[in-house]
Amino acid sequence: MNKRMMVFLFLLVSVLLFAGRALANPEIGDILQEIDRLTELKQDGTARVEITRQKAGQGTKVYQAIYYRRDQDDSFLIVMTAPEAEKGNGYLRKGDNFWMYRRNTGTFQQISLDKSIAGSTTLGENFGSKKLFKMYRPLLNQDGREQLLVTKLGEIPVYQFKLTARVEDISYPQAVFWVRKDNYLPLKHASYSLNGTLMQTIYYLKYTRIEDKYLVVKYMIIDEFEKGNKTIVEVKNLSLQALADHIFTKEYLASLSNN
Amino acid sequence: MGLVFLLSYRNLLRQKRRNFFLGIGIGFGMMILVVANAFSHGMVEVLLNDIVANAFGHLVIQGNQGHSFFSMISDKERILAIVQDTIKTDELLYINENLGMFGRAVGNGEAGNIMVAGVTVEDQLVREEFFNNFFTLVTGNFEDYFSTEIEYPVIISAAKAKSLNVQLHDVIKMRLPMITGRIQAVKLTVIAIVNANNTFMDVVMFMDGQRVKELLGYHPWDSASLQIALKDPQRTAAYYAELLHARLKPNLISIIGQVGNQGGQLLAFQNNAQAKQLLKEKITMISGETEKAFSQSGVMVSHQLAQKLHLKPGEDFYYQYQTKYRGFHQEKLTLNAVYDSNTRLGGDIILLNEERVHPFYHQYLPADSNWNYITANNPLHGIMATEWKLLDRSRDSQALRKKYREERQLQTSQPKLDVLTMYEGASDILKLEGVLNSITMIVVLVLFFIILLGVVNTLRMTIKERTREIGTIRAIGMQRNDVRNLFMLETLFLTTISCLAGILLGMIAIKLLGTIEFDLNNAFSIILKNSRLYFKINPTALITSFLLILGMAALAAYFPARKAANLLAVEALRHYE
Amino acid sequence: MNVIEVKGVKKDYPLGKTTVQALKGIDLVVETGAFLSIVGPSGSGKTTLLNIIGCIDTPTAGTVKIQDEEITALPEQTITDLRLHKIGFIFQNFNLIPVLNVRENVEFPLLLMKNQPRALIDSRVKELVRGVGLIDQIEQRPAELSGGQRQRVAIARALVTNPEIILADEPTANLDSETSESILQLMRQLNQSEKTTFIFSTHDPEVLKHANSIIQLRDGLLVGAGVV
Repeated sequence: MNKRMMVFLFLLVSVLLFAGRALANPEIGDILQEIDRLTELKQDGTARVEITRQKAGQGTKVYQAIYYRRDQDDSFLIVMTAPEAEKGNGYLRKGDNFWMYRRNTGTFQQISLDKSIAGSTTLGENFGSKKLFKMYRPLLNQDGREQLLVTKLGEIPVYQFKLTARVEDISYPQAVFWVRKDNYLPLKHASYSLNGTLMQTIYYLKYTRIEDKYLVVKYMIIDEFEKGNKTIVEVKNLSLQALADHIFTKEYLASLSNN
Repeated sequence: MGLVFLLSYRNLLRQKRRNFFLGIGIGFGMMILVVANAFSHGMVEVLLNDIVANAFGHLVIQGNQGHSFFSMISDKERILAIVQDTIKTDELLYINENLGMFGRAVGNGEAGNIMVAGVTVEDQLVREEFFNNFFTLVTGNFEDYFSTEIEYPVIISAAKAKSLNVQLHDVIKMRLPMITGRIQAVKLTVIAIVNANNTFMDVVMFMDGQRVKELLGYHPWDSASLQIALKDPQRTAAYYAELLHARLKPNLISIIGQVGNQGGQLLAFQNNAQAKQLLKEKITMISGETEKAFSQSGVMVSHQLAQKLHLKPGEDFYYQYQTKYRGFHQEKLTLNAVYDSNTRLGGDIILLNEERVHPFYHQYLPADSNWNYITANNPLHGIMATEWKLLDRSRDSQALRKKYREERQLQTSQPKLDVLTMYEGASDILKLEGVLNSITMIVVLVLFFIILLGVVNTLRMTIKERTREIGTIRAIGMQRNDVRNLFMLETLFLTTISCLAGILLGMIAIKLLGTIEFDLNNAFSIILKNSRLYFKINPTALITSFLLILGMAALAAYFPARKAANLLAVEALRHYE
Repeated sequence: MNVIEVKGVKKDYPLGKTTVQALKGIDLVVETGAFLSIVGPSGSGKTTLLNIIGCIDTPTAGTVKIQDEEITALPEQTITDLRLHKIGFIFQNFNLIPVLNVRENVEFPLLLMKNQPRALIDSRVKELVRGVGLIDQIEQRPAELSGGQRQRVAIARALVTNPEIILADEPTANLDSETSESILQLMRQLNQSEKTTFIFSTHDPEVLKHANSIIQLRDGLLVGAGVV
């Protein structure tokens, strides 16, 4: 073989390899890291949050709250505005401390982070800023390879993949994600118990774009265990102005509550 | 004195009508007191012996790790050995692990919160007690409780079965958090529907303890809290609690292992400012970052060992050791600093902040330790970390809650061990009896106050009527004190007879009330036993209240009686009605 | 021998704002075994004098000696004991204990003495009850007896302790004349058989014929003494 031929072949192989790489599917780990990057908001925010809970045989209940959040130290403050029974109750998290405020007694009670907020466990869980990539790794199939399915969710082309928990203290040890092929934003997320029972499915219905990041502003949680239970969380009136220190204090929570 | 007795007794019978009504009043009050006391005593006994003792044990060793809601003792074998060695065999009934799963259940279209208690039924005695005395079988077969063919067999109360809309052999789905926080989902199969003899048990489902333990995610060598049932808890519980507390003192953490082929020992220092300060004074830092070395994830190696291993600060290395239950463990450590212990700690030592050690230590308990490596006279003895923290004993529930609240504030991964008896754990219930009895007592005392006003009045009337008689007996030669005693005795006779009648009536009332069957489905029902009110007479309380009433009567009678005794014979004889 | 010596005894009673002088200075000596009658109109001080002699009342002034023992200054308890052992009382209204039967009424003072053997009590009581003629009614209560029978019981009771003195204040006032007669005969008979001193007050001249000595009181003073 002459030299020119060899160079040509080399180039051809290189191009093919490069093209192959470019056309091939991404790795699941990369997708997870990209999701973490896309959804990591390093900004203060204020919003009204509306949670619509539908319980089997018990009808629908709507909870509303004002929500202040500061990313830098994981602080947040929530004051319930509806329903009447919850109105004025609030929650304050500052660093590792988490307090619950009862309006009728005017007292603060220190509680553990996993306690439910206004009877909704989901809200409490979703306030932690856990990183997907730190919690999960791809579930490998029998021949030890990860499996990325290219499919469609409705009309939207998606990647579908299975994850398994990296650490023991995660509520759902297994999960399946459906993420948009074009920007990796999750659209659907199914959670499984240790023995593989489908426990809940989350549909991410609406994102809003903040510079190069995304924030989910509407999602629906279907309780697959107790059929008929459904929760819709909607974030409204989002504002991204910086928040002063005095907001994340007990005094401020109490004053908000009494208005 | 015989004369005084005879006379006061005859005099009592003299005004039959008047004394009869007074007697009815006193007897009625006593009856109320008997019934109320027996009720509160019975209720407390139901709460304490049937509920608290069953759910809690007479004596409990409880372990807590981090902020987990679940109790966990990481080396069951070791703690059990201590318990068995401490408590005399003939005073011990049994030791049980307190296993309970809480979660959400879905039956046939109906959902609810449930608790599944894990009960291990190996012992014939326990088996008898559990199946025969706890429940009345409605349908099903208790033998299936042990079946390995059936997936998670459970016993369920008729009430709970109804609320979940399930029947025999139906499946209940349950969602529960495991000790790690993971969510588990299981299918439970109803193998027996029962009526629990105590309504409190109606809300609880029962499953084999071993299965519950696995589902919750305990390792076989872990234990939930240990419930110890004693033969005579009232006498021995507190005694053994103290004894166990003394014997459960933790050792200093020590893990014998190696890095590569180089043998060594891993020790830990306490994560508090004082301990760190002392350690800084006693050892010399040679290289690396002191700040990091003393942080929560701090790792230090002695200069001798660092030299042998060619280790420099910032480098990773693996510490390997044989574990007690899980084979070989390898812990990846990042070296922060190299130190010289100035011969205080010896050569091949790896020194860690306790917060770095606890998380893996209790997961992978070492097979080899040298607990006496650092002797008590070593100046560093007091600052070395212990395996667990033994909590001080608490006096009562209030002190217990305060202690736990304070412990929760501490940010540490060091496990805690607590020894408590049901008398502290449930001292609120004991207090409840006191409170109920006080309320009853106050009501009854008010009642008796009114009755005794009647007694005093009657006595005054009597004395007035018998003035000439008093004069006569004084003239004949009866001493003043005897005259006073005469009238007091008359009242005390009346009180005693009425009280005894009241006690008898109270006992009859208790018998009658105890036969009424209640069909209740509310919180009140937990005080019922076999759907009936449960009364138990507390002889001490009974005697106390009887004596109290007698005392009150004596006090009430004293003043009019003394007045009668002090009458001048000459005046009294001149008295005509 | 003198069983009673009364010297300069006065007794004042407050009555509203004024003071009534019931006894204005009595001197009296009674010999052992006397059967003495005190006479005088009502309000003359008979009962007061008897009460003072019987140690159930104290004089405002003067001294009373019983068997040579000055009693006015003794403590209450000792005086009560003295009454029990040395004095028997018979009252106008009998003053029996209604809840006790004849036997119990009679043995009453003996029981107060304490430590008396039961057998002795029983024989003494039976003897006396037989003596007053009520052995068939021994288990009956006072309410079942006639007035005369009651007074007989009272006499038995007064005698049961073998007292030195028996004081009887108008013992027959509530009895018909026939019964009075028999009661006085009984008293007289016992006075002789038991050698007990009897002092009784009366305003019934019929009664006086039984007395072996009489003193007369008027307005708190002795106006005459003598043997009828």
